Amino acid sequence: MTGRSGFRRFVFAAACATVSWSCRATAPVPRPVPPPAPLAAVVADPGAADGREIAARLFGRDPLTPDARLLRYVALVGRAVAGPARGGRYRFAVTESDLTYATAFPGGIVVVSRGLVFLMQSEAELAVTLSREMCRSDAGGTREFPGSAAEGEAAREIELDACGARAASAAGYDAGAFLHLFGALEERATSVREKSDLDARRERFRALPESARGGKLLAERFRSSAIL
Amino acid sequence: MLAALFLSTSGLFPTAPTLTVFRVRDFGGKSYDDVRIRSMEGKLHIEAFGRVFVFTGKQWYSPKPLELEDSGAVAFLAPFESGSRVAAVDGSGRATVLLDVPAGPRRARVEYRYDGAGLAAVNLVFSDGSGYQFRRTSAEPGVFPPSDFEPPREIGPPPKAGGPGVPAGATDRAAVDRLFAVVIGDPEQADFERAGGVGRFVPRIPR
Repeated sequence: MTGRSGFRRFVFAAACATVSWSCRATAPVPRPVPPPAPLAAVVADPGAADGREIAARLFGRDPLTPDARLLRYVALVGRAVAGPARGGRYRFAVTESDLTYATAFPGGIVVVSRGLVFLMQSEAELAVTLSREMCRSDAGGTREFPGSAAEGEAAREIELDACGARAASAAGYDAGAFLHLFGALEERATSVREKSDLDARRERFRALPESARGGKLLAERFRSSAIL
Repeated sequence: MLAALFLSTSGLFPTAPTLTVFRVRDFGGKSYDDVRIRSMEGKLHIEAFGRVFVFTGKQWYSPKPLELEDSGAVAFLAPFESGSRVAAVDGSGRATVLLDVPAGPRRARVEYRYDGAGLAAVNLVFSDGSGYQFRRTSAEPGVFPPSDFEPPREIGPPPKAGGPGVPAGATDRAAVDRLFAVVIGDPEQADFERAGGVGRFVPRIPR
């Protein structure tokens, strides 16, 4: 019997090593929280949990835009999605980077690159983008720098897409506009894996009810505020 | 920066804000872009041969020294510069002939003619025999921002990372402070949402 019990424990431990998050709630023995992945792009200093510090490091690499009008516009869109009760929790930054990324650091700092804004065609796309990053922020944010090798899991990104679509649609935006951004990003994909992931995300997004619900695009306001 | 000056613009260009335009031809008859001179209270902003020269009332400013292709601009700089020899003046003491004028890699002789509105015509002859004729075609009142007469800023490559004064790999806490300084009042937010019909102003669809 002892031998069989030991075998069961081994199987359980092996399964937890593969998908640790699904095992925490049922594991009979408390497990230490695993350390963050040892990737170079991950902010090495564990004391840098403060989002401001991480943002300062990012701005050291990708400067915060000097365009105060653009910063203000992005903040207005983000707060419109968040609503008056939650809007004050977040700060919305735009970096002068040609990389195409959006991310969120702890403490409610949402960052979108100018390269990504350049690919957008409407305020609705920006709204979904900011919204999904607010979802990321609500889940604790990330300490990884955008553009690093430590890309998010596809499943996690799909969850964020859905979360972003829900909030943006509830705020009156046409979440389906985000499909355009998927297409633009796919055209720029540099690997088959990246293209495949984007394609999967786009199909999952297309199936969301919010994707077909309609709403405001506000393309003209976007062009005059974010592009011109 | 070009050489320091010792003369004023008095008598050559109006002190009231004025845009004076000169037509340009070389001695072969070939035309060039007009020279456009904004003058105001003893200050000058000259666009000539693809270059901009600013005279603040005390000094000339230009991003780089004159070169062969833009040395014709010296016709308008020389009256205010040292280094040349005044060979003749008119009854008001204005130079009508300047000799040995430094003009990029060459030297030049410059002749000036005036009328009631100031400088009317210039002939510039380089030491190699080539040169330009400048003829005033208009002098009209203008409105110029003070920045037109400020020394031009050096234009460098855009920052690659870290923003101004922030080396690559460094942190930029000032940028974070700037981000957190963006404050949006509720009235502005409400106006934005109302204008777009989003947020608190999403149209309610009757079920």
